[in-house]
Amino acid sequence: MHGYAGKMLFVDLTHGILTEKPLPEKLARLFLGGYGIGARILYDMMPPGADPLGPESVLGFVTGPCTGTKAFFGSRYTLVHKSPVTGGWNDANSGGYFGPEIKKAGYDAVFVSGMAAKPVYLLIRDGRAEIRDASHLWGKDTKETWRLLQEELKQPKLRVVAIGPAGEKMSLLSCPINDGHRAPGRGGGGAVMGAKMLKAVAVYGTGEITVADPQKVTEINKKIAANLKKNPGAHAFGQMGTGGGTGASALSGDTPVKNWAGVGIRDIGPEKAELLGSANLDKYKLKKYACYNCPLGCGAEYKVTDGRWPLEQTERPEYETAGAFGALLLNTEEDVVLKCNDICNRYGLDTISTGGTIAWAMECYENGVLTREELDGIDLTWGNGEAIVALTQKIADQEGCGAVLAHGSAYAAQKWGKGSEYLQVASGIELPMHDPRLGPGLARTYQYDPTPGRHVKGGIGLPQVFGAFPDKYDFSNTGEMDVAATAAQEVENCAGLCTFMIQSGIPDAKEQYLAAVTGWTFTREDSYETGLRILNMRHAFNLREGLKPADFTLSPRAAGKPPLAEGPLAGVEIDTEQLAKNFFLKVEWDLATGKPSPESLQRLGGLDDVIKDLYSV
Amino acid sequence: MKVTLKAFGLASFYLREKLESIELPAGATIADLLEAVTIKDTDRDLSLLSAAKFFVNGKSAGRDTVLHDGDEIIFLLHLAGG
Repeated sequence: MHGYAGKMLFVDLTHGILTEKPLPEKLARLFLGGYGIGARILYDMMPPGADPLGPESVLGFVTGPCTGTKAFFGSRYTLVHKSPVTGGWNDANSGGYFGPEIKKAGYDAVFVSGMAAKPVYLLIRDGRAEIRDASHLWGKDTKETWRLLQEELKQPKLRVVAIGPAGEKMSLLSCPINDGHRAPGRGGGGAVMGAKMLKAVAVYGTGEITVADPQKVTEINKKIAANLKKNPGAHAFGQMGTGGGTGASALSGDTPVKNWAGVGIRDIGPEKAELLGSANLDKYKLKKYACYNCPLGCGAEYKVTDGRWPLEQTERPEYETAGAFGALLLNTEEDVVLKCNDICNRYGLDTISTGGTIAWAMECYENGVLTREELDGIDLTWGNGEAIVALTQKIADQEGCGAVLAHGSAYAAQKWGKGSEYLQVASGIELPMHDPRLGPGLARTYQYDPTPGRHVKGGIGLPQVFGAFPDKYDFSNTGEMDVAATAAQEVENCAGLCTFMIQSGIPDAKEQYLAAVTGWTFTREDSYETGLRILNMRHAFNLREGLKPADFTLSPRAAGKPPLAEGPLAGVEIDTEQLAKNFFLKVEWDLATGKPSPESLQRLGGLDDVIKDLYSV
Repeated sequence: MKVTLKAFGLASFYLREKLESIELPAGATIADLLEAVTIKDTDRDLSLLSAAKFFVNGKSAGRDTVLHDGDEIIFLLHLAGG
């Protein structure tokens, strides 16, 4: 089977058993890879109601058919599990080199169940897997863990995904980090690994993934390379990374400001906006960093020699990080963003949710809901850089108030019994750094995607944020476009491709790559059906957990309720109910129960057990 | 009349040169300003420019906004993510 390693690895940590199984072609054709295959497998392996931090919880690292091939942008793998944050389905993907290495080592996916009695790591070398003691690595940060494993195994090319101290202590903000700074960041995957006492997965492989039509892959690559040359957006990403436009985004209304209540042009202003993001931070750039086989290369290594927190070796903060520790907190001090990004990468924390949690605490502090004493003496005023770094460190160490805030804003509001009116979350997870008031479709995506609160989950919102759509505030008739854009993103994500391939200038690049890599016919119709099947599979996981549409919530401020009084987004109020109705109607999900119509599931195929689970009572 | 211009994000990739002070005829609009300062290079994709946003003296503005002497214009095109 071209494009696939052809095998999956199942690891039972409780009993120390490793099992290898062939990847059935039918499973690959129906669910492609990434969270498509991930959701299908976890639906089969996990009982409903399983504790995400318990032994029945299954965690998967799943690649896609394009991962590790010569197809541009094919660097991604997806971490899949039930989220300890939202209580529902979770997937988060990551670039770098770890995903391709899994395939080179002989596996398309690795699924881990059970719980180890002591810290362990999983070592995979060219089709040989073993569980090893990780006691000596427990307590180490993610970069140190990677370095120690490379040294210990005498393999400088070893690729590692590891949790840091945050994941070990099961912080709900925690995530694993691969390649030292790339993260499947969202939804508490670090805590799931920590609960299993799985410190790391270390992989080394020398295999090659065959593709059906290598010449066609090269042809598509050449076409994309030519298009990128003409595309100023690609130049900007290549030169300044994802955060080059952070200042522009703060002014335009794209980046949320002051815990979603601020207005960039008023509260930050053009002069300070110039200090935000990599347009300013790149003075610390040592060299460019590109993920596996990426023609853009949006990353960079930094060395910070001045300021309050010099950093010998660190990375360029991504846009989401620059937003979450910048405009969201009214912070324009560059060293604060750099230091917080570094803490998060080393301890293994999701920068979006960590920044979002601090923003919530800041607004609570401003309004007297949280006192200085409750925050261990930190004067958590807007834009106070020292305070932001101090609190990030407390969250990382779970020290003092950080022991509560380390589990996120929704957890803290519940634990302390106050401040829920200032939460900016979707189903309990902090919102990412693109504002639905600028791209209203994001309100539907954030609220109702089976993995809530994500900016990489398709829909019409992001095109509305970045493009010119004069009718975007007309909320009627959005269903067809919304579902089509969602299905397309499902396929891109599950193929193992990076979402920035949108810069490629070829609208059906993913279908072309998939056909060339797998040798299967992959028309846009095939793509649409596959995307819908995957969407329904994730949705079915949530339905089986007992979640209904009413359980999927979005904090009202992000939807313009109440609307902002000033700035470019003044007066915008999103009809979230209408957007949801349009989407549900088109995708054939019942608005009250969430159940997909049996006919739609039958049509898509591969979901017979889901139909039975939903309809045979 | 003279106006000042500040470009943010991707907008700066579309400027012919880094200009801060621009001389325009009386009655000129933002569209006229763009015509005067942006690249006409046909080898580059200019379609993204349609999504540009503007502020004049801190207030949101459009392409038909008429400019006045001393106005401070922000021309921005955000493209960020990830």
